[in-house]
Amino acid sequence: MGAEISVNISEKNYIFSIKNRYIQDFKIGTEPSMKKDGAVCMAEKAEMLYKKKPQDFAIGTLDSESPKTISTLTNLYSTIKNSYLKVFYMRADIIPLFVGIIIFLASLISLYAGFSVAIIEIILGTVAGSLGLRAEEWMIYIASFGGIILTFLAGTEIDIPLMKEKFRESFLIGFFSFLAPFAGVGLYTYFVSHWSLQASLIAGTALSTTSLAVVYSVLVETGLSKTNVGKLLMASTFITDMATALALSILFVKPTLYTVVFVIVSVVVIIAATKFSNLIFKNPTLKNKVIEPEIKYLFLLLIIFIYFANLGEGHAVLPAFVLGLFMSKYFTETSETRKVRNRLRTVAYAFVTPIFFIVGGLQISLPLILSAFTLFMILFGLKIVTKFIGVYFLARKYIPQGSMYTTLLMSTGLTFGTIASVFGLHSGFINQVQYSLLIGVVIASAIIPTFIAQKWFMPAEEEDYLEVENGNRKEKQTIQ
Amino acid sequence: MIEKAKFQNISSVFIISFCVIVIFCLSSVNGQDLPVSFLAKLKAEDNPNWRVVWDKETGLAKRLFGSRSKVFQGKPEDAAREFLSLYHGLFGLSPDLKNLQITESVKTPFGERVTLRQYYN
Repeated sequence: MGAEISVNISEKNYIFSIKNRYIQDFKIGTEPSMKKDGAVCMAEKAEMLYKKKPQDFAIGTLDSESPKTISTLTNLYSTIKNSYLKVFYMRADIIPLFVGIIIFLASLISLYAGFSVAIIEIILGTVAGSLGLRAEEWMIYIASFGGIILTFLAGTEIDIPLMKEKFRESFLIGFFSFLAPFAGVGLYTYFVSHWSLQASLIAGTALSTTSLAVVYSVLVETGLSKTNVGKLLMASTFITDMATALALSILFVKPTLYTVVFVIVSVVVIIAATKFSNLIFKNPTLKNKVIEPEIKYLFLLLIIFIYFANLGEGHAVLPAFVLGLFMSKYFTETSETRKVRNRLRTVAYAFVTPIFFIVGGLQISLPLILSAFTLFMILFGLKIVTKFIGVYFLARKYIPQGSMYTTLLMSTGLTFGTIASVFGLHSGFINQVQYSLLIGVVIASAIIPTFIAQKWFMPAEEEDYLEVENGNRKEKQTIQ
Repeated sequence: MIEKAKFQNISSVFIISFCVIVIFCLSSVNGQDLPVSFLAKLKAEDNPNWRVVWDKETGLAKRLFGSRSKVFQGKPEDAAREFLSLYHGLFGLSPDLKNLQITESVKTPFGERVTLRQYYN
């Protein structure tokens, strides 16, 4: 790595501007870089001398027909040397090794400590980021793909009849889970922190989200995804994310022709996949083969969403969830094709989703968060409090056996919060410090509420209850 | 079962404490050289009108503009070095500007542009 700094100095010797350019791919060791500098200086000197006395440079030819100056030769040498070094360093890229260690370590810690692997991966990602690890391009793509797979898998877990039956409950919980933080955070940042209107709206949107990926991961790991609490929770999360996506679209996104193309392609893919996936899943030539054509087919559908979403400046999370939802009939516990989902889950959890969570951790810039730590704490507190106000009372009414668990998991944020913050930064609505603060709060909200929920508020399942006679009425007691 | 639960509780408390300690140690070490604290120093000591564009990848100052520094003595190269040495944290440089070499010094309509290159592994 290296940096190039250009300092502009006036004739009166004061400095009026500085440009600092960070050269990420400048992978060169100390010793070769000295040689390179020497080579560059020598080339510059040689070129200067050549301009004065070209006849002195008739030496140093590559062939007798075309005389070459020392300058050309040294530059050539330098280029070759650098290319060699670059190839050498690329061949020995250590980042995948670190990532592999983190993924394995996170699963061990998760199993021994009894926490969701997602939390551990985010924490380890944060630690690695503080030590200097940066997300490479391949990691960012796999991470976004991981988020889409998790969302798709979450969709497949939804019990459509239950969702229809409990639509009112899930809609109310999901909608107020969005509205309360959106209003609370937006108003606070606008009136108290004096952020601009757009920045406040971005803050409200980013902190109103609930991470379907985190919720799904935690529910699957704890076995709650099959329970009514889990299914209602996932449906509510989807409503929250839907509301967030709509808010972001209505407030900021200017739809283009590609956005329309993205919507049309998504609808066509969802309908076609719902109707014709049988041709893949039930085809004796294709099903249960070592080369996994069914998994590749599902990957292809998700990659189509990602491509057209990027084209239309949208996001593939929503169609991926809806696709999962509509394809859930293929993956019910009684169906033969449920094994496909389990194999997809194996592929995802072994490599793809860990990178999603690690990259989430890497995005935290602790120095920038510490520079505005009070505001960070206020925003984090505000998100939790407003989520509590929006969710807890409804959850206590509709999910009494897991109201606090539901509230805490609905307070988690990751994918959509990050999307909203990145969008705000790229559009110039928020600055770097505001961006780091929002990302920090989003990721802290993925860790802390999940940790508390898992540790102290795990809902008791039906089989954990023992009916006991108490006078004339039956009561349920939890088995300790 | 109880033994396993106890072990899980102890190990979880230990691991979480360890991670929290590591993060706080790292962040407190990092916090000493915060680019924003150097910006505050620059604004306090030099001129409050300085403006910064931050690099979202590195968290360092990408551009510094909008104001004039105090007048430095010596050659433009010396002025550049002195300024960078005073506010090195803003650009992620070491205080002694070790490995920072002048690669170019060009006359411009407004004065001179000095380009320095830093190498680090």
